[in-house]
Amino acid sequence: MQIEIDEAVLRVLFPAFLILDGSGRIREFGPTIARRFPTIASGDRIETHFTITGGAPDGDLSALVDSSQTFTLVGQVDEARLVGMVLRCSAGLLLTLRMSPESFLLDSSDYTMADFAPGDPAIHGLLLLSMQRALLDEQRTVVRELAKERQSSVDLLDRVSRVAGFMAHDFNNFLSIIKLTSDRMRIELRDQPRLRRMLDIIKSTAARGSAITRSLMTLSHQRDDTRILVAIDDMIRDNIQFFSTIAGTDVQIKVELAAPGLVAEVSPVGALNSLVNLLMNARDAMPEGGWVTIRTQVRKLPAGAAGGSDEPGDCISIEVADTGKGMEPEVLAKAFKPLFSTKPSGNGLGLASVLDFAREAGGDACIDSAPGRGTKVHILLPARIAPDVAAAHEPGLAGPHAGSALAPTILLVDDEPYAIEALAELLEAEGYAVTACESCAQALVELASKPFRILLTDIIMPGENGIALAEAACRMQPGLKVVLMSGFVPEGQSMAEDWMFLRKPIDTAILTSMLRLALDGPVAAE
Amino acid sequence: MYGMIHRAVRQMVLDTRGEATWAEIERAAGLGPAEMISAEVYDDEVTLKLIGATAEILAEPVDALLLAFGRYWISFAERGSFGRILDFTGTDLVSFIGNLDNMHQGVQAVMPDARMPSFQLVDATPGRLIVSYASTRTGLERFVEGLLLGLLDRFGLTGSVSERPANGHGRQFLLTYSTT
Repeated sequence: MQIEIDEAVLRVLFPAFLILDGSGRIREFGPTIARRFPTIASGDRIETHFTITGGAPDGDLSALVDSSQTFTLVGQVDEARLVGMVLRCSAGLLLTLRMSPESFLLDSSDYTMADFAPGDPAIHGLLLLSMQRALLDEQRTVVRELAKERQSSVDLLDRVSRVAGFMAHDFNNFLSIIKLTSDRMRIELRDQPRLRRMLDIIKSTAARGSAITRSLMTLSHQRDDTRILVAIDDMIRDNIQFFSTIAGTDVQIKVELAAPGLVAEVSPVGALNSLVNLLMNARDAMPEGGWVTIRTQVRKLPAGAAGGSDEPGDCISIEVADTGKGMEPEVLAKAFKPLFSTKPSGNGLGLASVLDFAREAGGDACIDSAPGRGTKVHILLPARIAPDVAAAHEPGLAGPHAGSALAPTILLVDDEPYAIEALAELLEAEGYAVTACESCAQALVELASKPFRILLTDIIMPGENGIALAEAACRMQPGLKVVLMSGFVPEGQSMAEDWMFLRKPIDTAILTSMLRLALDGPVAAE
Repeated sequence: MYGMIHRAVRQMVLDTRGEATWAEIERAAGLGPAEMISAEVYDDEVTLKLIGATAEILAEPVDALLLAFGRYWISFAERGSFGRILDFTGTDLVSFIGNLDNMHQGVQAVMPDARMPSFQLVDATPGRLIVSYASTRTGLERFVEGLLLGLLDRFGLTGSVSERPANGHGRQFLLTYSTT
């Protein structure tokens, strides 16, 4: 069969065509051939530029005329491959060739779309693989950018965090001085209620300043979880309005407090968070509304309770009881497990954190619940008799050893002269014999010269570190009690387990009760 | 639109105005690195917000910005990961525009959510082309004009692009350029 095709059409349909004359010489060729094989000229023998493989016996292309057999030409120079069929035309043989890429990666070739006939599947293949490759490159770039961006954010946050921490430290030092000095003046102004009222305003304003430092410490990842003696009944009474807000309008709150005069050594933040978690659970258990009773009473802490002693002792039981639907036994069995929740959006950490809080304080927690009978959660905390805090605050009520040779000795170290002055005076009024130092070096000299019961030291001081001082002091005087104080603890600082920590700004009542705890024996902190 | 467009806007601003200006634009548009992922297809609203903020911060009319951005887009694409694909599409203005739809089909194959425009050569005579443009989007004619100017730049040609009254579907652009 002989066909005649208009050359313009031929160039479009088979841009890599070749026309050979009867003697096997190239007479015409398509644009792809011209571009990719620039040395080809009319009259050249095909074997000069190509090796004929596949399908043509002995390289005789005329044998393939009118057959559906394909053959392959491989370029002599760049080994480009062309595949096609042979047709007879008026000039001789028409080789309907198309480029056959060895690789579909554009990066390793110099193909253009014009090398292929429209609709040639090679175009799509080359584009597809190249697009995927380009997108992978792009994604690698994006990943690098995102990683860099993330690192920048982390660095920025870290810088902000450190600045916030040190601001909190300095601010807390000033607040401490204001609060301690106010307490001193309150003693002096015993008979002047108007001036005492003004001092109360100063103290109250300092307390607001403390709230700001707490925000700064949150920014610097510092947790305000100092364990102090907390009068549980008072804490609940002070927060009833807050609890009502959490419970919502459909839930009524009833409070029955029966642990007056007792305190527990807990983190106030942890205690409040635990009650908030229990109230939220109670609210969720009563979508139609109901009652929540917050009840305290004195009970016996079971022997062997986490953190407790082997002997049963008094404990404050905080009970949060709801009138909700109660728990199925299988739910009850898993209720304290971290990450277990029956709520669609629950994280399963609420009850688990309540249990952690109770156990960290040396107590325990338990649940009493059944379907249709509501739920009661009990937090059991080791109880202590409340120290007469008010007496400690009142003017002129000095401690039992005031001025005597039996007064417990305190080595007080702080680089702020005003803080030293205020603290020393308050502690002396409490009955302690105070040796004050404005530097660690000075403190070490004092430690070498006489024994002390307590080291009360700031942590961050210019060029010095209260923790290093405490370590040295404990080596010099084994049995020395250590109370560290700071408004900011930089990361990486570690303290011995039996040391106590007092967060600035210092509250006089907390300071004095902590010092008494230090003298009375080791703190039951687990 | 896909994130590569956002990246190109960012690069244009960085190249011409610097990092501080780009930071200002990011803040104004409320965008960040999460909106700069090349293969991610974003809602057009995000892209329009970016263009609007860029125009405002650079104190340029949106049309002028789109024109400049279209022209910049070509050089941005040829410098990046897609450069070889542009080379593959065509080595001269006519073949390139004639193969644009083929190229876009390849893009569509790997980014099925992308909405690709269509370009057809309506008439081609030496130094004069008429190109029709059709898209499911509207309001991007100045961007297309910029793209075509960018193509003249790419192939080392000097000329102009103008929109002409279209017959039937889509918009038409007239390219005139010197062939010497």
